[in-house]
Parts: sequence; C-alpha cells; structure tokens
Amino acid sequence: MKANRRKFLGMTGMAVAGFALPRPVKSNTAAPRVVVVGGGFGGATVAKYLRMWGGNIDVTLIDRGASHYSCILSNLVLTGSMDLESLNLGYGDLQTKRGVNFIQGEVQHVDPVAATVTANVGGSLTTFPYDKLILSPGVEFISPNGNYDPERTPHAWKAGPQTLLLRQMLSAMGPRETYLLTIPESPYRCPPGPYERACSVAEYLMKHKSGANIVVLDGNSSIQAEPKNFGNAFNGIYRNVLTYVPGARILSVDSTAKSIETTKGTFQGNVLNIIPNQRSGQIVTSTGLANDGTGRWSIVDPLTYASPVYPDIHILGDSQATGQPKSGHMANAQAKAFADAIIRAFNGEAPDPHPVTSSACFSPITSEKAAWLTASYQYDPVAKAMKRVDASFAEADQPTSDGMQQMFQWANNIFADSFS
Amino acid sequence: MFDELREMSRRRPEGIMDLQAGAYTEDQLRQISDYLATLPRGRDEATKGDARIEMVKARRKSRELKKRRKSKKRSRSKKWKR
Repeated sequence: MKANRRKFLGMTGMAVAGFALPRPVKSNTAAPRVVVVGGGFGGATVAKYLRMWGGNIDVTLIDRGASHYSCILSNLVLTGSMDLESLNLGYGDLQTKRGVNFIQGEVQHVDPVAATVTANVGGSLTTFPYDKLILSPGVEFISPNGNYDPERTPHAWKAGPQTLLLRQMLSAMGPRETYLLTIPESPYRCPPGPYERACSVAEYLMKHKSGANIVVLDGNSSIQAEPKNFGNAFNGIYRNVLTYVPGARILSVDSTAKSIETTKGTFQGNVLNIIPNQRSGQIVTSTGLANDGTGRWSIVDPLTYASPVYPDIHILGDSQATGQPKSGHMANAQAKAFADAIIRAFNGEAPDPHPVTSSACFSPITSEKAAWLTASYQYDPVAKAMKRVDASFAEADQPTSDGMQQMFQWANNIFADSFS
Repeated sequence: MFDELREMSRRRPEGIMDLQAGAYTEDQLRQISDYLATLPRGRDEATKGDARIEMVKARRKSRELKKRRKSKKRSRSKKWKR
C-alpha cells in the first residue's frame, strides 16, 4: 500500500477537527473537574483528548462496562468472520498513558444544580462533583408494541451478548427458513449498518443455508445510506435470497409467535432481528435533556455541545440533535471539536467559530468487497447549525476488495484514536 | 503534508480523503498539517488492519476446507453404499 494512502487512512481515523491546538490549562490553578458518562467512541475520545491537550484537567470517565465492544465491524461477528473479543476495546491505555480516572459504575442520577453525578459503583452509591459534565451514553431502544422480548428477537445493535445471541440463532437456522430484519425509522445509530447486515446475512444464507431467505422490513420509505451500492446488491447478487420491503413501519411484535405486524402487512419468520426505533441514552432523558421536537434527542450548541438548559452539561455522539449522523466515527470527530472548545473555555477563550467534522463508513457488501460513504459538516454561523458540505458527501462507485482492506485499516485507526 | 492536503482538496475527488479535505479552508488544512507534524511517529495503526484481514481470510479458508472434507466424506460413503 502506498505511503500517501496510509497517511490518508491515518487522517480519516484522526477525523481532524480543523483547528490550532488549544493552550493547556495552567497547572498553578485548581484542576477543573470533568466527568464523562459513557465510554463509547465519543466518551473515550473526549476523555483522552482533554487529558492530551488540556494539561491540568481532572478527567473521570464512568461506564457500566469494564470495556467497550465496538459496534463497528460487529456485523462480521454475526457471520463468524470475526471474534467478538477482537472488538473488545479496553480503557487501560486511557488510564495509564493518558491519566484518565476510569470508574466502572452505573450512573443513577445527575443533579445539575449541585453539579454532581451519582453512580452505583460496586454496589454502593458514589457522588462525583463536576465543573463540566459530558453525557455520551449512545442510544436507548424504544420497545415496540406487543409481546416484545429482545432475548427472543435480538437487536444486536449494541455489540456484546446480543451479537453472540443473534450469531447463534443465525447459525442454528435450518434450510428454507426465513430471517426477518427490521430497520428503524431515522434517525438511528449507524445509518448504513442495517443494510450492511442485510448483505452479510444474505451472503451467509446463500452459502450455508440452502433455500433460506431474508426479508428486510425498512421503517423508512427508501434505503437511508449508500443507496446505489446496497440497491445494486439487493437487486443483483442477493435477489434470489433477499426481499426488500420499504415503508414497513412496525405496529407490533410478537417475539413468542415470531411475527411482526407492519404498515405493509404481517410477516412471520424463524429468526427475528428487530432493531427498534431509538432515542437518547437513558441518562439524557432522565435529566430532562431529550428536548428536541420529537422528544427523543438533545438540543445542543454545536460550537460547544452545551445544553441550553444546563450550560455545564454537554451532550456528545448519538444522543445529540445537531443533525450530524449517529456513528462512532462522527462521535470521535465531535469529541475532538468539543475537547478543543472546553479547554478554551477553561482558559477564558471563545470556541473555534468554524468547526468541521467528518465521518466515513465502510460497508462489506460481500465477504470479499466493501463500499464506503463519507460526509463532512461545517458550522453555519447564520443558522447556528452544523450543515453538511454537499460536495463532500458521496458513496463509492462500487464495492471493491481494496475497500475491504481499507475498512479494517479505517476501523483500527478509529479504535486507536479513541481508546489508546 | 500541507501541499498534499491542499492538492487533495483541489483535485477531482477520487476517494474519501479528497472529499474530506475539500471541506476545509486552506488555513484549516495548514493547521491540521502543523498539528499532525507534532505527533510522535508511533506504529502505523493502519498496518494492524492487515492482521485482521489475514484472520478473516484464514477463517474463510478453514471453513471452505471443512466443507470440502465433508462433501468428500459424503461422496465416499455414497460409493460404499452402492
């Protein structure tokens, strides 16, 4: 691989925010206390960069898990191409190399007036005072109506035990059986992800389960990401095993009877992979910050990711309502723009008035070839919003084996940039 | 590095990096290249991807081998029955 391609991939992983380095916070003053809730790509990245760029800042990262399982690449675990453990990203480097204080605990409550976070840490309630609080909890699922049980009809949309459960169900499918996949209504985490999963499962069924098929019930009226590449795959190589049904919003689910009632009729399957509609992580909602027009996502100032309700609380990643896509790469990019803004704030300076964020995504269309999608966002000072740069928004002409190689390299860069 | 980034941002986009570079002003590209120049030269993270590709390939190969062995076994046992 050429050197400039490697640099390119490094840059993509860096998701550079487009600013000069902020001045570190002076060490002769009391270190500001920053508490980060949620150790996914957004939370881990902001914890790292606050310590790396910020100097004298006391950073505590709280997550319910001892490590983070990456959703990126996790569709490959379903088909047995990868082990889940190879996507297990620990917090060790953040602690030892960056000086982040990591706490494994379940956050119970935020008190915005007292500026404290209370978490259940090893069975006892512990309170963490903060000067700045960052909420980066990802998404929460909105349970569909009916007799819905995620243990019988898994989503596998947060990598971990659900991924292994769905993998086991897929592998146990018999010939001529049906796999039903539902796609949530936008916005949801990882726009190309469900279509990518449809391709991976379709290929797996073609190779290993004679006569089996997959029915894709899309809650949206059309393919939400990479329409050319996924559309070509659905109508081309997978046409004999895959049926795509757009505009099929879920009305109810019966996880025991394995049936889904939708606006396009009732469907029955042997394996039901229900990816429910989504909203901000629970702690954002319970703090009263899921306050956009839908009541699902959190309004923030895109220059600082501060909530207009509580200016010392900042919301990053999937939970925010800036219109930027909900993805690990985007959370990583936002985290760096935000880290820059908060360090400047500690120094009494204004945030960068022209932040840029970028996101890329590679999607395996077959086990040999992957396609890609990219978009960048700039701050529009008139609209006071992040706007997509249309000239930067594109998908690959076609899936390629080179794209497959780049996919792993891109993922490794994001993993390292967020967790090392 | 700056010249390379500027060229990427100006030319007809060939891939992700050209598209992303096009979203920045020249001044921002200069700041990015200045920043990247300050980073220590560690192990290139991109090369780790090659190991994952090898793993996926090896798994695929072993699955195909198993499948081939199974079908050989099946055809042998059919011969015996005949």
